Amino acid sequence: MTSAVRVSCGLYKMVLLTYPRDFRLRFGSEMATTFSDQICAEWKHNGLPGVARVWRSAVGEVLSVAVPLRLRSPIVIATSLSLLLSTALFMTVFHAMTHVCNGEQFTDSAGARRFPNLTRCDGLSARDDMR
Amino acid sequence: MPTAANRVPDDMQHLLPLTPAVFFILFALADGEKHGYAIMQSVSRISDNQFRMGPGTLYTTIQRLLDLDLIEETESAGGQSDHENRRRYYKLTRTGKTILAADISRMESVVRLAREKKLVPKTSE
Repeated sequence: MTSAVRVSCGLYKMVLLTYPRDFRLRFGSEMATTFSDQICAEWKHNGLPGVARVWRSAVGEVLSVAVPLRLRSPIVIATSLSLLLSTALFMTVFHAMTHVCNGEQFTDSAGARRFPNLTRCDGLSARDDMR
Repeated sequence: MPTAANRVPDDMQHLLPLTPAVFFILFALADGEKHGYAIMQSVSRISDNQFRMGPGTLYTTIQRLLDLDLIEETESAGGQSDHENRRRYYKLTRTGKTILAADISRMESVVRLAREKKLVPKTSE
């Protein structure tokens, strides 16, 4: 077995970590064996382009197979939902705070020009600022 | 006369038509038990290299087919090497054969209709 094939097989064992634990325990060693057979055959018949094609497919399967399998787990669903909700809450608070800050700036600068008679909390009118 | 589709259990009817991955795996196993890599090679050959699947797609589909009792693991002993020992062999169950026959029968009907509508050329039989 050449070093390229050996490295590929070692790397694929790491790729297998993206699959759920139960699935990996049941089919992990078979998947590694099948991948090794595939890589050996491609290396023998098509060389590096063949190995690259197998890898492209394996990486594609992480997105099309491993991630959806992971997303089926209730723990992952709960974690993803809580992360999404926290992010949404943070964005809402951040958005609201930004608006409040912009509102203050509005009365201080642009507001001063547009509403010169507006009386501020410090007792001075915006017109006083413009003088 | 009962058609192949009629013999499919009611709780399996929703599987028809079969997805390409399920169809090709069942089709590959139709001529006897095979291990994962042999299934992959067979699928590649019977689909004329049009349908290729990696280990991820293959084994998630195998898991589904095992859960549905369409295929089963066989007791075949592996070879001498550790590599061979890690292989598991799969074969069609009776339900698996029925489902495959039903899907092929469905395809036949489609092809017959297509011929009647002159959508595909008639082959000399």
